[in-house]
Amino acid sequence: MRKALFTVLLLSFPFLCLRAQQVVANQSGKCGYMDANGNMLVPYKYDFISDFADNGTAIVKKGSKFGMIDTTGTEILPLKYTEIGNETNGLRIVKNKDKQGLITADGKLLHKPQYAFIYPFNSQGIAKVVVKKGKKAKMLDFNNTYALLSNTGKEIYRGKGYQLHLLDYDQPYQSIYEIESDTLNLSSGYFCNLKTDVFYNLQGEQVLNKNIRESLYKQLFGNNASQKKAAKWVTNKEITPFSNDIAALYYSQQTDKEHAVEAAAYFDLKNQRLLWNAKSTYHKVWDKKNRKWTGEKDSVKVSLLNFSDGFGIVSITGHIDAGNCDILVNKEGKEVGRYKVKSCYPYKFGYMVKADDKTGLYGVLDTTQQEVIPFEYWQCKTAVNKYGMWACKHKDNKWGMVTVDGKEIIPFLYDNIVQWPFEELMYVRKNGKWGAYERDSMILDCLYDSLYSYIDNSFVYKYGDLYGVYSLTTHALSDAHDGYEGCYIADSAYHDSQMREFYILDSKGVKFYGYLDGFGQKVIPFMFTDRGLAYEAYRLYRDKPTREFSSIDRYRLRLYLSRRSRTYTLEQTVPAADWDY
Amino acid sequence: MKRYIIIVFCALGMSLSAQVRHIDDINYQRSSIYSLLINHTEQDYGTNIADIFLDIPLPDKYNNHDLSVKIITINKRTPLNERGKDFLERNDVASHLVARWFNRDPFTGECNMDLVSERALYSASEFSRQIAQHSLRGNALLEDADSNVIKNTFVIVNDIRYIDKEKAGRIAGLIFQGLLMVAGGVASGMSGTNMSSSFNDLGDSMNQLMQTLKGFKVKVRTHLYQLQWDEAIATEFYETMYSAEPNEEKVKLFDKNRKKFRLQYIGSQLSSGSDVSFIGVNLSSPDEMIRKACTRAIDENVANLAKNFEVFKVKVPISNASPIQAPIGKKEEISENSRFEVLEAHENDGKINYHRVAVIRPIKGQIWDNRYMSVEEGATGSTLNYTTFQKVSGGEIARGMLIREISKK
Repeated sequence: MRKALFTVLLLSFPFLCLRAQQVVANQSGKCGYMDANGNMLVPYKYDFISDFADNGTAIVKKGSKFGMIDTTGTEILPLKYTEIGNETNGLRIVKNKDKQGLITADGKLLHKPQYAFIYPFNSQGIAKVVVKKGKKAKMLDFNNTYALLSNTGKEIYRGKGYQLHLLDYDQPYQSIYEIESDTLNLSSGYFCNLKTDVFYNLQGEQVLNKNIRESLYKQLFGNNASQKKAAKWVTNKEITPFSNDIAALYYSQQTDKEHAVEAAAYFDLKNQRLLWNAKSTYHKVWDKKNRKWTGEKDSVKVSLLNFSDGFGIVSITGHIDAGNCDILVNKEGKEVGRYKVKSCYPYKFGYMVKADDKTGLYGVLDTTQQEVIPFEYWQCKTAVNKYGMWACKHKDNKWGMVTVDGKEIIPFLYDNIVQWPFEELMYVRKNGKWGAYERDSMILDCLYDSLYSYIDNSFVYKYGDLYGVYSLTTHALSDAHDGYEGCYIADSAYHDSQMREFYILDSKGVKFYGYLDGFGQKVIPFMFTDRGLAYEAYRLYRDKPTREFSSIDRYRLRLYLSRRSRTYTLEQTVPAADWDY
Repeated sequence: MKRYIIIVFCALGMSLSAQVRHIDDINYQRSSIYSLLINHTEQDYGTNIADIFLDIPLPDKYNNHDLSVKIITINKRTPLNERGKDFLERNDVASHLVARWFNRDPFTGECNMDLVSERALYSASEFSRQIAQHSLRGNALLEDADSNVIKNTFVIVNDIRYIDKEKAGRIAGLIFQGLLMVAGGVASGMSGTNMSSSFNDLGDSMNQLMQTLKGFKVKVRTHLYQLQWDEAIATEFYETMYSAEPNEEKVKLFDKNRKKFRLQYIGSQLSSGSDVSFIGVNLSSPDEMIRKACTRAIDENVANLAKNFEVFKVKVPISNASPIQAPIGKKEEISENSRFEVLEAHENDGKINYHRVAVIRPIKGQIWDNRYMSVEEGATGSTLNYTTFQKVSGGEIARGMLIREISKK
């Protein structure tokens, strides 16, 4: 059905022969390879030779078969494949009839064509393959056999009759279709078979399965714990994916109708050992009025935070011998600190913000739990940023900024500070007006009514009724209001984080829309009275920022601009020139 | 046991706590719509209605497939019983819709697959690569795009009537009745059936004008057409008219074969004409009042067309699974009696199929009022941002699955 489209492209192949610099073709259409001196390194024997890649290989075709040669003409991959794919992550898919295999970019065969289908490698270098389809396979998890290939070509996993999902922190549900895209995040470095509840590392080794879970359960509740009850782990509290190769797990054991014991544990996935654990009690109470179970009379709760920078924080609340507290646990499973409950923030960039147990004032500790910023601040931001800067409030109720090496880089003069975690940019507010610092240099005085989100190395400012753009690249304010009577920032309907939509007003109050980039430069001129049209123009620009408007673009934009004035009667035939497509 | 939910748990409450997290930017394949206005130039505010119509945004559950022709006019001088040639057919609107899908340059005939891959949610470079490799996957992607995306292209023709109670009576009703006969002719010309009778009935009922808050109302009749895109026409287009490069011969061939592309009439919907509250509207601005009335009426019609016609049903993603929530609400005409099927996408060699995994219903009192200007109106439920559902039957539900209303039988 689609042969026509393919044929169009296929027919272009011979022309490629002629256009390649050193690939030449003779009168009968056969291609060869000639060096700069005119010597034929590869005789005229192929129907097609691609351009040579940087690694000195080229794809060749003879009849209906493809293979690869090097610059000496040696066939490094024999011509027996019906298809050779483009290179992705240093690998190519090859096809022989209805089977697919894998080769390296330089033609080394990793897997002979044996798979029914190889999906594209994702950004983590993992590809899913259909090894073999079941006889009546209609759904993906019916009877097909699947495998996962790593970017080294190694098959790291194979199984049958299941759905494979590659775990993503923010998107727990992954359709099979999504697996093929590059939108997955494997930062946790694990994947999971959702049917069997087994987790694997990227080498294909099981790191958490039913046996491991049951073993953990016994360690936590004793060898005599009922197997039936062992199965009732609280999976909806099991935090996945994992961080720092540590999993935070929860298990429960129902003791009677109203009581349960929960165990919270850190489990080292790499070394397969229980790092740390604690138990809590849960006492449900029957709410007669609403006829439902509620928590938590006399309950003790143990809550685990995911490991961050090599430390986990356990928070214990409720009645317990040790009292309510926060416990700091390191990657060896040792308690390295025990503090007042809810006094610790997770480690970020090697530092932890904490409130003093006695005074309640805030300071910062390093990974050895040594004080790097003294506990003398009344309020603060919850983390030190990437540059070791920390916004906090002094006892005189003013905000400033200090660093972990003891410097006061922003004086304590401000009513508020907005701190960006990955940037050296801060917004400060004084007497209701905003200004900005870049590290310890004030780049904008506190004169502005608003400063907006920092995006693409610039941000928008509002000064009275006027808006403009400040660029951190040029350290300059854009002259956005350039004679304009007024402008505003678009609402969510047309907002794009990379661009700013503005409008200007003419003397009749007509609004003209256009777009500014991060430098405050006009990229879409303020000529559109139709907001949707301006957005269309912006979309064209966004897709190809270096393009100039082609003649067809201008033609279509002109038609949109004038559509208010163009109406047609029911009986009319619209002139061809009035159609944009 | 399947596990889809991740709860980021924090006892301190300082960073992310166990809260509802929504995915607001889930991409899914949507239908595409070209929206037209039939404007009655002799009616009050005819010009305003045309201006307002051009500013009314398309419902956000659909892709915008507009063409440069948006407004068709009817005036008193049009013979009431004349049934001219169908506007859509005569102007080969279907061929222009196809041309838009492939970004066809009308002068050079040059086409590309950018819009197809964008709306089918394929990576454009991956799609092109697979096509170029004439791979099994590429073939399947193209089939998927044809059947799930291009085929779901619709034209909605909105016939908007402004009715002022001070000019009530048989005169307005008779005019409307006559005009509906013309519109009926448009419809029947397309489908080959005589649809006029239903419009005549409507015309009679229009003689009874309802009282409104401010003495006017807007009635909108929306007609729905679908682009006919099957394997035969798709094959013919790809084989004989698609060109990645300028091709004068294919330009001529396409122009010659425009009649081969057709629209099929699906049905129509009349807005209820129920009172529209003007709370939150500047009452000294007729434009704003008419805008709200028109927007509500069109939204109502689109929602009811989606309810009543299977091909036009909209699929909306579940943005949170516990509780079950989705960005759909009163604008889509849902109520506590609505039922939705939860669909899970299954892909087989590039082609996506949807299978029902559960049935859910909205929870009373948790239905989002997302109608136009409901927030300004202070309407109950206008700030919910999502409708919350409860499961009626079925298995596990996860974020990203799609829901579709089940028609009442």
